[in-house]
Amino acid sequence: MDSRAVTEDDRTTRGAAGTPFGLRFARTPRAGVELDLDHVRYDERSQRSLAADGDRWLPLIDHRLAQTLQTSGESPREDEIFDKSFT
Amino acid sequence: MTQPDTVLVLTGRLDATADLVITELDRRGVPVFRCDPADFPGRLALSARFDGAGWAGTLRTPYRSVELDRIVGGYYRRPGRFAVRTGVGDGGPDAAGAGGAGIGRSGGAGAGGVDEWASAEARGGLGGLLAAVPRWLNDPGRMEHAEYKPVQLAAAARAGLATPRTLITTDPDAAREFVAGLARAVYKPFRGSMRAADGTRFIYTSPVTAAEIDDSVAHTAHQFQEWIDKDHEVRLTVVGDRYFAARLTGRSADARVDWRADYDAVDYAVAEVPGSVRAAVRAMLADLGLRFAAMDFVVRPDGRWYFLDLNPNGQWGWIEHHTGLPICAAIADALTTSLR
Repeated sequence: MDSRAVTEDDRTTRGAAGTPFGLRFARTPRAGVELDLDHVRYDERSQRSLAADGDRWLPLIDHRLAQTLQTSGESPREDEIFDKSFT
Repeated sequence: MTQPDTVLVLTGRLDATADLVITELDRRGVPVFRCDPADFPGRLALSARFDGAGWAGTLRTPYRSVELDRIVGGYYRRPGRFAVRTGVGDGGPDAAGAGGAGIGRSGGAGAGGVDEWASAEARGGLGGLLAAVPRWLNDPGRMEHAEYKPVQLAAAARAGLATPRTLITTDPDAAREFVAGLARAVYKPFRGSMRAADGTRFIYTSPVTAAEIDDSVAHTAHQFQEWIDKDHEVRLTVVGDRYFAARLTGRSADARVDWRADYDAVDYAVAEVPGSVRAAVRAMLADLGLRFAAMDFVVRPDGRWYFLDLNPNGQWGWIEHHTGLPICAAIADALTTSLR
């Protein structure tokens, strides 16, 4: 394998100022995930999440949010959207 | 009193897919212990000892506990990272952040200090014990390896699957030459999302021409791929030796390029998997050491299947919802193999 010392110029990418090419395709999703933290909570007894439905709490999997959260691995990470303050 | 055999579910608290499986296991009367490494050690405590014959000990949350030697299978979903906050001295930068597989991978670029060390210790201790759990679906170490797209393409080709020609490069000239040599080409990111100040952005597979390519390709690795003419796509979910194939047909221009870009414009139907594809997938997953995979295929107008992508931790709940394919039950079966 051919190798040589790397000079400072070699380490500077061409057109260094700017955004990587791939990010020109970045966009806001067509169907966003809207989660109000006050309307989702974790039930320690059943070890499942619940979602508010009026004045009732339903299993999240029976709520319309569930399918959105299951879609294609693009669901938001739990640490983005869940209150972990444990009041 | 001996604790009953239990399935461990490793994930965060908001995970509707894990909820589906826990609901099914609960229906079957199988005890479940759900926890998240991100809660360690404040709300997830550990004590285990090795006496030459195997590890014995207890994982405990404020609500329940499980004996390590009673865990008969583990479902690895979306656990958070080890992020120990000691509150002592120089805690170092926040170690939290997005990550791939690997049990509660800790630390981020530039993280340091007491908290980084404590998080690494947490991973070595609790993460190591969890890694010893039998019958993971999927084994976290295998998932980490299998998540790499170059690894997937090579494994698919070894197994006999048709694959698109692909270039990964930082060289704009190489990218232009590759794209110019194809009838049609796409840009395809390795990571499909990016956090921005005002929310998350998604980067879907996108058509690209040689004239569009500029020097900004040099900023990082870029993947360009041959466009495969498609009649439709297939999301093939594999659980053990069971195959659940869903035909996805896009009704909009965006959905026809990448169905993730427009879920509302996708039609779903159950599909059959040709025997040759089934055999190749079996070989590929054996090669990668996976018991579960969500795989994406293009089916050309002539009926030939092309492998595009594999997600060792892919979503399946919405496929079951649209097609009725019993994926959840198959996962519950796979997690309780030793109980039957």
